[in-house]
Parts: sequence; structure tokens; C-alpha cells
Amino acid sequence: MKGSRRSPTHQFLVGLARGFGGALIFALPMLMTMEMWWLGFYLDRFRLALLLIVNIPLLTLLSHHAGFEATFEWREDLRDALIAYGIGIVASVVVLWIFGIITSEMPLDETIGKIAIQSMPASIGALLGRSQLGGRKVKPEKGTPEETYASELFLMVIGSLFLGLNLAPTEEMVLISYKMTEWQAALLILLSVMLMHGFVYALEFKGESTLGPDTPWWSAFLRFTLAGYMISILVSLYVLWTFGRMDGQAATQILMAVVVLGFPASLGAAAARLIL
Amino acid sequence: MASVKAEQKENRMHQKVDQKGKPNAKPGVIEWIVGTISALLVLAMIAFLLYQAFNSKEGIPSLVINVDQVMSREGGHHVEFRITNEGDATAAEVLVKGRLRDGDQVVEEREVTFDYVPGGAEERAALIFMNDPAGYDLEILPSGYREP
Repeated sequence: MKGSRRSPTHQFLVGLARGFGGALIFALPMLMTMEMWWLGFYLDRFRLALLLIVNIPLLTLLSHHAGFEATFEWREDLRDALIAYGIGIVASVVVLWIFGIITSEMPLDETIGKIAIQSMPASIGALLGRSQLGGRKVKPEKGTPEETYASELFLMVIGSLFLGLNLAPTEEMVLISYKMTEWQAALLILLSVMLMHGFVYALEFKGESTLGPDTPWWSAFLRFTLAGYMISILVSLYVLWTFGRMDGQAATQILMAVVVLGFPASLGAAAARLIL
Repeated sequence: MASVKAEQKENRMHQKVDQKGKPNAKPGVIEWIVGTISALLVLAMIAFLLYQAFNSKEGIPSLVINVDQVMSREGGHHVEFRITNEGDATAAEVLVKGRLRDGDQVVEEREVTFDYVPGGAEERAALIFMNDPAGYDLEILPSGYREP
């Protein structure tokens, strides 16, 4: 019994199960959002294809961060990324079919669109699930200072996608930006940055950050808080563009919608080290 | 406890020193570049929003409609048009009505609703008439909107 538990096949199956668990935890809010189903059939096909392609290097890098050792084996990371992608697709198909969102009478274009858009968040969840549920932790790389910094920023990208993707498809993102004044949007930027800095400090206290104890506050503020905020703004911009939320909009409206989505996205980025 | 932590930290520092020949405490140039660019972008965003806040007038939507083309298909003539909101305020549930007139008489009336026409934005839609608009006077007008 003990021997079979440790067989590679068994380990692989346990990994798959963890992947499915992670995919569901990460993607269920999106699988149960009707705007995501609609996006599946009206989303611009070029943008959808781009999202699916961008997902591959993203998963590969994430797989590298979630790995056992610091050995950088591209092929293994790519393999794990593609497995996670597969798990994400299968999980999306199963859940969407159970819900009756995809049926056999639907045109193929619609079915594939609905699955494709869900497979991206689901695959991120699958990859995180394989490592997190297995007791490992996604952590920044220990290398040269530049590599460590780049990898901290990358984890912020994942964190902002984590919260940002959950909220971006809803109509409320755009509606809130219509209801806000420019004053309130400017204040929201300040609030987001302040909250982010709180998280950066919290990490410093936990002793997990790469910041030294004698780092002045403005140094951490500039290098982590503001850089992290810009990352979440760029992620928000990309996600809103992909979902076609800014087509035909004026610059002010685009900026305000990005700031609104940037609020949860920046919290996700700042808390990435805590929640991932 | 604290001394153990300090020791660990020291060990890590030593590792870095050994690997790269310099301690990790000094942030690299790239970190300052990224940080400075980010700071400038955040300031630019705030400045843009404040500029808009000072310069946007008392907001009411100003809706303008332009007809693009008429496409005749089986089952109706599609009059494609664009609605542009030249004002600053966003209009919600904008009802647009299109009529075909023959002199004083309204031959056919069609309508379509836009969920939102945000300030400065342009949206596209079509009205479907049974009669060919070419033979009549076509008028398309916004009837009303709601504040979002």
C-alpha cells in the first residue's frame, strides 16, 4: 500500500485532482457569471485568441514559480503549464455543460468561445491548485536582485489577475465608473495606493519580503507599491480591452473604468504573496 | 527567537555576497527605473482626472445621430446609424425612435434602446423597417434617457 502511494502515476493523479480543485476555486465565480457566457460569443475573436496565446507563457512562468526547486527547466515548466491548461479546459466544459450553458444544439463557434474564455482563469487556478493544495508555496525566485525583483512583479501580475478577472466581466465595473465623478476617481487612486502600501508593509513584518529592515519607507513605496499599482492598472487595461469594455469610449471614461477595476486588481497584486 | 531570525537573515546576506560579490540590500538600477516610471504614470493619471474634474461642464448628455447606410435584406431594410454623446454626462437606457413619413403621415415607426451611451462615446445600432426608407422621409431621433 505504501509503495503504491508513492508511485509516479498515483502522484500524477493526485496532482490532477488538486488541479481540478484549484481550477474550480479560482474560476467558479466566473463560470457562474452570465456576462462571461455572453462574452464567449460576442467577444472579438482576435482578442480572444490573443488571450489564449498570452496565457501559455504566463502559465509557464507561474509553473516555474510554483515548482519544487530553483532548477529552471523550461520544458518541464511548459509541460506543467499545458497540463494545467488542459485541466482548465476540461473543468470549464464539465461545469458549463452541467449548468446547461453549453448544449449540443449550439453553434460550435459559441460553444468554443464560451469554453475558451473560461479556460484562462481556470487554468491559472489549476496550476495554483496543483502546488498550493500540495502544500507548496508560490514564491519569488532567489537569484540576482534583478531576477528576484522581476519575479516579485510577476507574482503581482498573477495577484491582480486573480481579483481583476473575477470582477472585470461584470457590467458594474463600467457602471461604477459612470456614477463616479473625476474627483472620486482621483481619490480612489490614492486609496488603492495607500492600501497597497499597507500590504507591502504587512509583508515586511511577516519577514517574507525581500526588503531589508533598514529600507526607508519611500524606497519600498516607489519600488513595490507604485510599481505594483502600475502593474494592476496595466492588467486592468488589458482585461477591459480584451472584454471590449472600452470600445468607442472617451479617454476619461476609459481611465475611470481602469481605475475602478484597478482597485480590486491592486489589492490582489499587493496581497499576492499572502493569498498565493 | 529574534536572534535566530537575525542569524538567518545574516546567512542569507552572506549567501548573496558569496554568489554575486555584493549584498542584496542595495536595490538595483532597474528597480528605481520601474519605480520612477510608475510614479510618473500615477501622477499623470491623477493630473488628467483633476484636469477633467475642473474642466467638465455641468453635465447633460448631448446625443447626436448619424445614419451610416441602409442595407436591404430579406425581412427588412436595416438602417445602420451611430449615436454620439457629445456631452460629458453618461446617458442610460437611451430610447431612439425612427420614423418613415409620407408627408404628414407616419408610415412606419421603429425603436431601439441603448443600455448606455457614455459621455464622449459612440455606439452603433440599426433599425429594421419593412418599407424601403428610400421612398419616404426618414427621421431618427433620441426620445429620452435615464441617468445611470
